[in-house]
Amino acid sequence: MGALVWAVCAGTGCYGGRDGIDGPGQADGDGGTDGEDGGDGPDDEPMGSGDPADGCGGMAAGLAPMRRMTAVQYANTVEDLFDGVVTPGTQFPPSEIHHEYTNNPTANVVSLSAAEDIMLAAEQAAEQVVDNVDLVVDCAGMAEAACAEAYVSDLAERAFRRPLRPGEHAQLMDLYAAGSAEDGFADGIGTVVAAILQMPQFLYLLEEGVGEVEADVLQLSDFELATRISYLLTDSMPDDELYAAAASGELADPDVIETHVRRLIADTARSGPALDRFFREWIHFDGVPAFDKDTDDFPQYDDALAASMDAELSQFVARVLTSGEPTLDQLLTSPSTRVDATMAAFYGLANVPADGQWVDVDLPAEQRPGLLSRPAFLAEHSTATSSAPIFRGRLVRTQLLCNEIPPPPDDAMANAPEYPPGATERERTEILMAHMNCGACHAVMNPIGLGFEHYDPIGAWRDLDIDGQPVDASGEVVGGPDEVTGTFDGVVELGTKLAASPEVEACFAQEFYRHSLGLERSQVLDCAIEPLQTAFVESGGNVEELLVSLARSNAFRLRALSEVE
Amino acid sequence: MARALSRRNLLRGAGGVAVALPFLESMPGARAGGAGPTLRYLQFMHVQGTLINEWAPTGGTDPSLSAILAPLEGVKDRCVFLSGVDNPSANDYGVNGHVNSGRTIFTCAPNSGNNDLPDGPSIDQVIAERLAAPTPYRSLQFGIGGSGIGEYQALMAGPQDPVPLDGDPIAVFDQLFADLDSDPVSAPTTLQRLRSRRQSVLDVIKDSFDSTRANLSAADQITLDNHADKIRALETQLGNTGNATVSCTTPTVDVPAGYDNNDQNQDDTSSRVFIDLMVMALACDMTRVGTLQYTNYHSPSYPWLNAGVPGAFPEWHSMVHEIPNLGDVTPVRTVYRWYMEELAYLLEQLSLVQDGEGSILDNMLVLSTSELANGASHSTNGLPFVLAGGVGGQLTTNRHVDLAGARSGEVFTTFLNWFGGNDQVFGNPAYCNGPVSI
Repeated sequence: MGALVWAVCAGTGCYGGRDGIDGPGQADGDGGTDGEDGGDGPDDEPMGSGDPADGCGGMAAGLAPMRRMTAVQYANTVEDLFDGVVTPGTQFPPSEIHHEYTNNPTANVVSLSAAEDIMLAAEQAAEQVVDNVDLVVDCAGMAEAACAEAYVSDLAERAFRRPLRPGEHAQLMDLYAAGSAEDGFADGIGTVVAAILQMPQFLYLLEEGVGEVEADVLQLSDFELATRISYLLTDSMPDDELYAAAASGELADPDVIETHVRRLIADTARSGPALDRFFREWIHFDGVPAFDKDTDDFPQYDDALAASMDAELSQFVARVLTSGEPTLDQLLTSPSTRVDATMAAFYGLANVPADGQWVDVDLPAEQRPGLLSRPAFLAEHSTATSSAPIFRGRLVRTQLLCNEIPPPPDDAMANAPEYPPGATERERTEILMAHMNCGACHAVMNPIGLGFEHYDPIGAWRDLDIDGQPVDASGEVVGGPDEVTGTFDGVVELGTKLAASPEVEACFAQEFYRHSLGLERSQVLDCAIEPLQTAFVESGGNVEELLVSLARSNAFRLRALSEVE
Repeated sequence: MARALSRRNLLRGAGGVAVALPFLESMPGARAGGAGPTLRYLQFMHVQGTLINEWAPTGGTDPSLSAILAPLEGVKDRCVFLSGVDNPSANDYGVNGHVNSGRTIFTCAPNSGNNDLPDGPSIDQVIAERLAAPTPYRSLQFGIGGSGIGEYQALMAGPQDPVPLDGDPIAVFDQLFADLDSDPVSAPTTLQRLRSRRQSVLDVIKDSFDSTRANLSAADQITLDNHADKIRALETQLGNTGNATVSCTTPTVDVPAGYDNNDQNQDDTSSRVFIDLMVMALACDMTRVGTLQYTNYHSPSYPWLNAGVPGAFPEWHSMVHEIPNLGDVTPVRTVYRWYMEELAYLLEQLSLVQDGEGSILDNMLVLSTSELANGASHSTNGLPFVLAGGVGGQLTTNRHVDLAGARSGEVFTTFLNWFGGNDQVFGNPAYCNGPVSI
């Protein structure tokens, strides 16, 4: 195990050769990509940061570049700060996906126009506070000035997620004084709100630490740790209980951390959407609107079906996570999901729920095993008209096996083979693999994707291929971990093999860890990730236990400082 | 109406409503205070290359246009067509043909660090910084077909500093032109009152950046300092009002029911709406630098053209790759020609915006190009560069110039010289050997 970053392609690419790419797919006679020591190709060296073992010291601390709130986190935090009175709106700049995850710092770099959008969003929120000030500020029995003093203190402490520092309160009260002098109490409060929502103490998950446990490794403050936990599990600010635990110093005790992690996970109204977001970003799902599919081929794929598929993906994930067996195995094999009327019709179920209702169902296990058979997932990893085995196979490679797939050479498409009209995806794959040197890379992707051929480009089950013959869903994993490598028949068998692989569990643990701190793969240090991977495998791939062991780990509670280039 | 827009500019400003209306009556007319014409720069980026083998006009002066360029016939006398401009920096990016070309087309600088964004900055951002125009926006950039660009993050303010596109024309209209109705002096809205205190708020924010950075690591400080720089630039912008031309009016944003700016099959609507918004933003001097970037290269089917795209292919992108095997390239030519129709419309609209004795087009530089030259091979040699506008008398138009292998960085160096610089290099010096004569 360790940081799983290695390339799987052969020494030469599809065409013209690629330098410096080597990998177990071809280099290892036994085909094992066990990834010990972080892989064995030159590409497994994290770019620009040297040996992944460096920088950890003895504490198994991990890197954690400073993060700014994502757009989702901003919206949730604003709702929490003002108890739902303020609707955050959509002006705040969107978080791009960068290296899979929207919380990657680079996805949230502030451009000039983003700075303006942050200002406009803050003013929109402040406007609502001014217009609804009686709902936001309770001045019962207090003089206005004293009420403002108290409210600004309370608001800023919650917004900064730590007690105020000398000067911060006075600075904000000066703003209140200016606003209230011109236009009254409500405008004074609103002016403070407009400022707080643009201040770095609010927008950034600042981590100054409370001292170094060794050179360049910071011990996080309890408030900073509470913030990490809260944004990981709820995409928002710490709730009162977690904040109180930080304030009292109790969070220094890992058992207390664990208590709060389990409590927040159980609060599915808050943790559900945050965890769901991880799963979506992990599998590269960012929505498949109706216009993404060919309307002649798939007239049934309208806005309503697209929306229901999208929602079913979340319902499925939520059902696994709350099933009492929240494991990677269940995620990859369970036929249990929830459907609404639209999805019941899509699946051809006899019992159709009332409009707007989602009900538990067990789908045929041979057709709908786990995440890899979800229609939304399949529609995402297809084109407008084709089932695209290359995309489905590549996703398994990069996100479940943590392989790196190098991009095609520039001239690959220009030299792509010709396919006869009406060729099936299997026939096209065979032509591609035999064409020039294309098979060197495509051998690791397309044969996996062929195992998904029972699912058409909108994820519907099909028994017959486009040539009218029964679908052949046999696939092959070439050069993967031993448990996975070899032929398989359909997604049922693929999911079962993946779920049984410690490599896949290690990859999942790495991906969740990356998501927890917005890390690129090159920033995953072996010494930080390996204890988490070991614990996850030993837990039987239990996702809740992964969250607990992550929150208790030094990788999460300490912060190894990044080098400055 | 011009006055209302000027008032709007003041409203967003750090000066706020304290600036009363009578002051506006004394604002200067069409032109900034300094000597010389008001220069402007606009980029028009279409996607997926073109049929480069048949693209070029024939002849030098008053050239005969190819079928693809034919829509520009009416504005040909405002254009210079450049053949033989290469972008070799794309070939050293090493990601894929789209990332390579899209991210270097305006930067001429592949990425050199551990991140897949280009080093930057892009030429538009450099020109904007040099102009330092007294406009409410340093630059405006619209994504036609949505703001999601990923591979085609073409605009960069600097290394690791991407400039996002605005993709929603309704939101852009609201930001630039709405909020004109209420009188900010006698009956300001809540929002207007809050905006009038922007300067005080920004002062506190700047102070908080200064005090917060002290206890952070060096890497964290760099992140915060970048953000603080943007706050200062924003503050400068907010104090700007620009000098609207007499042609400045509120544009009409007219979209059909069911319009979705992210639907690539409604790009015909998005294109015209965003062109109108950009022209009026320039006419109203909200900015002097802009980019119009078409963001869909993969699977639009151009239904408004009835061109038979993507035909038998899974999507437009595949069809383009198959051009050498198509036999009849009429459908593909129709698509590429459509982008030139849109460019022609843009140039016509710019020529209608009065600026002194002439139009703003006389004094601006418009660059039209795709990220690729040959769509089928994804080659970046021989890019379809069209320049338009007189750049204040510096560019003689109605010509076809074959630059025979000049590199795009060298052309951009020439641009910088037109905008008052004495530059000898733009982008990565490995791809640039001084300005070229155009």
